[in-house]
Amino acid sequence: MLAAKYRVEVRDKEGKLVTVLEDDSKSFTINFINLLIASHYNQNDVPIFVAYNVFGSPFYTGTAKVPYVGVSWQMFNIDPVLWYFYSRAVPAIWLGTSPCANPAVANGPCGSLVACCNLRNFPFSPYNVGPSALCYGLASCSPSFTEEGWAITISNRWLNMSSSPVTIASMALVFAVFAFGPAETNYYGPQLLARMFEPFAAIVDNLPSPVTVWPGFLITVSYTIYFPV
Amino acid sequence: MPKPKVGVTLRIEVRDDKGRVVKVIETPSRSFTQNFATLLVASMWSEYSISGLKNIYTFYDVTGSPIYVVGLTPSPPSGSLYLYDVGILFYSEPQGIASQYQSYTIYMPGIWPGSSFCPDPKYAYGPCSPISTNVLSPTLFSFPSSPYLTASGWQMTYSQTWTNVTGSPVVVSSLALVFGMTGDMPSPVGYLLYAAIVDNVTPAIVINPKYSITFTYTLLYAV
Repeated sequence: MLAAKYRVEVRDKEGKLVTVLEDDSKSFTINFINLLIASHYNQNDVPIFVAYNVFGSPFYTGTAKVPYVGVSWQMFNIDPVLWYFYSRAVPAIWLGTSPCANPAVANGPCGSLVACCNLRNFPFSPYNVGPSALCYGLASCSPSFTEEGWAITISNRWLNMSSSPVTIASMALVFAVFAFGPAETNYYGPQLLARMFEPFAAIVDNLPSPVTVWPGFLITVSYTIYFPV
Repeated sequence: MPKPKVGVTLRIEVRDDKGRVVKVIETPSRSFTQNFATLLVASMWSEYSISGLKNIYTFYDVTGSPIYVVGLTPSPPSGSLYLYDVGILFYSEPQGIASQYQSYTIYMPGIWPGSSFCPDPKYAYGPCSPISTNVLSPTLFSFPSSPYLTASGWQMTYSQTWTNVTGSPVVVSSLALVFGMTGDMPSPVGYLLYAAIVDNVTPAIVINPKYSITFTYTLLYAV
C-alpha cells in the first residue's frame, strides 16, 4: 500500500543548504505492521502481538497482557498537544547516531537518540514546531494529489543547540498510541489502569552516508508517504 | 527521483459452478481514494488539535453521505453526522457496524462489487452501482491476521468471494476495498463504512449463474 520517500536537508547558520539526501524509504517496521493488523479487529478478538516503543519497552495488542493498547486506536498520532501533555517528546521524525543493523526490526533510530524531545540533554531542539504554524509545521493538513498518487508529508526541523558536531546515521518516523498499564492498588484500594503514552517507530531508515550537523546548523527531515492512484 | 516501489495488486479469479478457474486477471490497483487519504491525515490529530487547527475534515461514507471530523468545538452543518476525531481506519469485521448500513445494498467491510464503471475511482465513495448481496452472495471477508514478510516487503492480503445466486448473468465493472472507521462520537453510532480503494474492472466481467468471483488485494509495505 505504502511507499515512502525521505528527504534530509542540512543548512548552515546562514541558511545555506549544505547537504541534501533523498531516496526511497526502505523499512516499515514490524512494530508498525503488528499494530496495523490489530486495527482490523475488535476488542474481543484482536490477536495478541508484542510491539516495542522507541525506548525498547514492550506493550501488547489485545487486553490479555499489560501494558495493552487493545486495537491500536489513533495509531498515526503526531499531535503535539497530546504529546506535550503526556511527555516532553516531539513528534514525528527522530534521529540517531548509528545505522541500524536491520531497520525493519528496529524500535527506533539507532545509536544515541539525539533528536526526539524538548529537553536540554538532547543536542537537537525542535525548530519551528508550534501552534502558530500550519498543522504545527509538522505535516500536510490535507493530502495532496501528485503524479504518484495521494501524498502526505511529515517533517521536522531540528537545530543543533550543542557546542559539538553531531553525526546522524539513522532516522525514524515516530507515531504514538495509548496503552493501559498495570492496575495499581494504593491506600484507597484498586485504581484505574494507568494511561501510558507509547511512541513507536513506523518507519526506520539508515542514511546512505552519515551526515554531520555542526553547532547552530539546522537539519530538516521529511517523509512523504504515497498512496498510488 | 526514482518512483517508489508501490505494491498494490488486484487479482480477480472467476470460477464456474464446478469450481474450475475460467478467468484470472492480475493488475496493479490504481486508486486509493481521496476519502482514505483525508481520513489518514485527520487521524494524525487529536480532537483538541482539530479544534485548534480550525480544520473540519470531511469525508463520505459508502452511501455518499458526508461525515465531518470537527474536534471538540463542533460546528458541522445541522443534522449531519460528525465525529470529534478519527480513531480506527481499517476495521474489517461484521460486528458493530453502524445501524444505518443494515438497509444498504451491502452492509459490512469487504471487497464490494459494482455493476457500473466509476467515472473517476479516486473520488468514488464505493463501487459504482453496488451489487446486492441477494444477487452476488459473499463469503466472509478475509483480512490479515499476522505479519508476513516477503522479498518485496510486508505483505497484507485481503480477499472475498462472491457467488451469483440468481438465474441470470451479472456484470461486474468496479470494485472497492471497504473498511469500517470510527472515532470519538457524541453518541454511540458504530463503525462507519468507507472505501479506501476503488478500481474499475476493464473490460467488465460477466458472472454466469452459480459462478463465483474472488477479489484479492495484496498490499506491500516497503522493506
